[in-house]
Amino acid sequence: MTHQPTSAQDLLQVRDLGVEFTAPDGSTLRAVRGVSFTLRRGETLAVVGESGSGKSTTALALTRMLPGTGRLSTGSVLLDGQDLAAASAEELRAVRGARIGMIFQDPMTALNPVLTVGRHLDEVLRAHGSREKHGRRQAKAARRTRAVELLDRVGIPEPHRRIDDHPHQFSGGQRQRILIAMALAGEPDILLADEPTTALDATVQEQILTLLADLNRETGTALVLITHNMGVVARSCARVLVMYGGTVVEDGPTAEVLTRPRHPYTAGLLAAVPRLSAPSGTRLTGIPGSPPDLTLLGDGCAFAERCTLVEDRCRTGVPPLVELTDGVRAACLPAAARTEPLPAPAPPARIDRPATGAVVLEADGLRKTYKRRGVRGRGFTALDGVSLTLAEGETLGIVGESGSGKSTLARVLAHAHPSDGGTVRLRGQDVTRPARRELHAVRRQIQMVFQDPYASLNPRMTVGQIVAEPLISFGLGDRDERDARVAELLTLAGLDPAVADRHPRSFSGGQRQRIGIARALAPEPSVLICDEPVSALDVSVQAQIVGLLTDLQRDLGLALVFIAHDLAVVRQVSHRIAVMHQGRIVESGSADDICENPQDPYTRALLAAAPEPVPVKPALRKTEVLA
Amino acid sequence: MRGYLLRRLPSALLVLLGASFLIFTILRLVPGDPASSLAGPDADAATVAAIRERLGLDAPLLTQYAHWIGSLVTGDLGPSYAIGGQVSDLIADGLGATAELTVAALLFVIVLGGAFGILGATSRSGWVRSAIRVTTTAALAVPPFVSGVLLVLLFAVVLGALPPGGRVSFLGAPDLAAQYLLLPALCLALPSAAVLGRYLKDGIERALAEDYIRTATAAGVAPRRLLWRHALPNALPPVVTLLGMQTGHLLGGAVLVEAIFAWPGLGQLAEQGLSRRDYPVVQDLLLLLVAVFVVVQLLTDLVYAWLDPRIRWE
Repeated sequence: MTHQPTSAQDLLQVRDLGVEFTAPDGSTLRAVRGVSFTLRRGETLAVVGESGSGKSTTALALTRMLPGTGRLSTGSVLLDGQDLAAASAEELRAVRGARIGMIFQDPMTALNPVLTVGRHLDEVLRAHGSREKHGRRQAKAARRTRAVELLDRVGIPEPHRRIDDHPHQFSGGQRQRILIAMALAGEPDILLADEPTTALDATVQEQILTLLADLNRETGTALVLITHNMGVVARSCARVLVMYGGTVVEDGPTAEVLTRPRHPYTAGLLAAVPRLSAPSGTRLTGIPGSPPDLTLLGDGCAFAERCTLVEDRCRTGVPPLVELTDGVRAACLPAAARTEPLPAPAPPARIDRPATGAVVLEADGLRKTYKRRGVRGRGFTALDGVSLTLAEGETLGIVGESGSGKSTLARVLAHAHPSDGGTVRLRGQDVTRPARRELHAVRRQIQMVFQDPYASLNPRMTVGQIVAEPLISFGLGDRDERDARVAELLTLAGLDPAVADRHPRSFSGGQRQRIGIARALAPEPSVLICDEPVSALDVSVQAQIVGLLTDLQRDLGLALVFIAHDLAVVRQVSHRIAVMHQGRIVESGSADDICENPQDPYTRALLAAAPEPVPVKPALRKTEVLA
Repeated sequence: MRGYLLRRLPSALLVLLGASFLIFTILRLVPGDPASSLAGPDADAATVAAIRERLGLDAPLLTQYAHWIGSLVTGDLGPSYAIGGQVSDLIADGLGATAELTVAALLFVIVLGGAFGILGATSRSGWVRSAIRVTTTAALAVPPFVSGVLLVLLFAVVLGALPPGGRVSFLGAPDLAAQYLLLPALCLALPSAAVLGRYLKDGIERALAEDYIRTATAAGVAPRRLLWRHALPNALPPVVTLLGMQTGHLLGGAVLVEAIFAWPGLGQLAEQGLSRRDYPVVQDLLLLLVAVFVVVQLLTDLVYAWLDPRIRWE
């Protein structure tokens, strides 16, 4: 282990970090290349990027926790001068938890289901010392007292009573609090949080971010927050590091980077983020193309293929990260040559939306209760008297948090689940409980696009077979006609018809969602129900899919139900919005009205919790205004 | 827990009743007749008929069945047809020996299977992992009547270290009794230990890849603790279910292994009873096996719920 002098303020110095994986075919995948940054004591640093940008890999590489074949190929990680890249396993163990605490994305799987919460905290405390000081029993009692204190600190109510509960007895937000308590137990100098709020609802996300900010202020623990969400960056961190294709492309003070981006990728990303302030009926700006395949990366700039400023020299060498202005560094050759920041993106363009037509779908008083397992369990009411109407060429946005009944509503409308009460009318005809033959006809009229573009396509079928499946099941056309129709549908969804012979695994998330849309359009439905169609996609790709849906609606006169938890996207695509809470529609109206003049307290809470990618001055933080 | 057991009781009784009906029917469907086999090949029809009447085999089948169930309820199992003596005494004599063999085999299954599983999942040496894979495959592939003979050949004939067969009571000479028990118990245990080892290995490997192990690693928990306190408790519940089912295999396998090692247990009693069409002995014995299996399953469910706090006894 080497000790090298660093500035007294510098807590962590990462120099030229490189991480490689060995792919199953034996090729080398360079997930992180030449990443360098410095973290000061008590600083808040955001690492932002889309999937495959190397942000999580960088975080895991700091304490050498890389999964599978991952290994550090170059560089050093100096923690107060101690090089973690060269440290022994025992030295690393002493750092993990004690000097660097980590929080991970999914609180549902990050806690051990068979251990109590008290045991979780006890494990961290005993791993770092407080074991042999006094007698065994006293040490154990002391650890328990400390565990109760920690749970209290992160806001678990009645910690002395709940310490012996198991993880499944806590909500998602509470589990994330418990994970934060674990990360804090060793009183670390650095808290490394990898997408800590991605799996949580917006209102819970707000609480967790507030907790992290409080901890940073009170304990002086430096915070490294890894996220894909520009709003979270703006809300929580003073400095930001933007990653793309395994490299740092820009880094600097959040206020500067978010308002005057220097790297074209940062600018594109910021333009692609849907903003609550953008009115209904405007088009989101995406970045053309999709994130790079790390196995195919050449020597040049990783962003060159999608960049509007690309020059020949960009393709020959990785551009160095150079300081352009006070504290802002960018790795872009064309940007380095210019003195001003990139021009601000044009405001979102308005779309010409044709007037909406006659009512297609009408639901009145829909009810659905799921039975709990066991005989005596009370049911869970997912839908509690939901009524709505949907017209030709209209998009109805449905927003709400998890458990609000959005997906149940989608399934009941699509006749995937029967409702327990209420009526559904399709073009005036009652189709609530159709006979078998009638159901077939109803399903042809109402099609669905699903959330997860990875799980909703059969990996054994070719794209052509997947898109042709509805044609076969509805008995449309002979083989030649079907082939022609599949080609037509793929073109409609923005794909090359030649891809029909390939399997879903060779497509990116955005392309898979296009395949899912082509499949849904195959039987020429009049209603398309999209259940969180873009929430699994990167921001730069999200805009492409939303744009595609809008174009299809205009060209085909589709009636769209657009379900999402992100209010900003919903506002932009929807004519009207219905806000769901505990199985009821608490408020509905025109998209702009709902977002600008919300009436229901729950709608207001949702709007307040949505983080905007605009840097906030500490004095103006929403929570402090409320307090 | 008591409430849970009370609620499981009716279904357990129903299983036993169904099993008794099947056992009764199937035995009557097997060719051969107790009366003529008792009377011998030269007996005339009248002698056979007399024996039938004495054994109550001339009564309608339903009456015979009711009579059997009645004997079970009162606890008086009555005399055997052909072997001689009371059925309850015959079963009691063999039960100790078979229980001894099965429990010893179960211990071997747990120890060997546990070692296979833990080493297979955690050993860094490719050589060790390959050795375990080969051993478990062989243990699964070779049936007890082959492995038994091989074990006798190696340990009794070639090495002369262990006796080839027979049984000595633990009450008199425990060390000698253990020597006699070792080979039959090992022979009985090997296939189940291999199955258990493979499931445990998969379970530990899966658990070690879970997010909560990453959480614990990030908290600085030592690798040994990661395995024993974090991964293993998560790998155990399905393995316990498997162990419960393997107990059934062990009971069934004991019949064969007892024959190979001249072990005077229920297996030999069952073999005699079947070949001489001794209905009461075979019926009671088979039902006893079913009852033991039902109890083991119930215990398995209780242990499962105890290991996994997400499962409740309610």
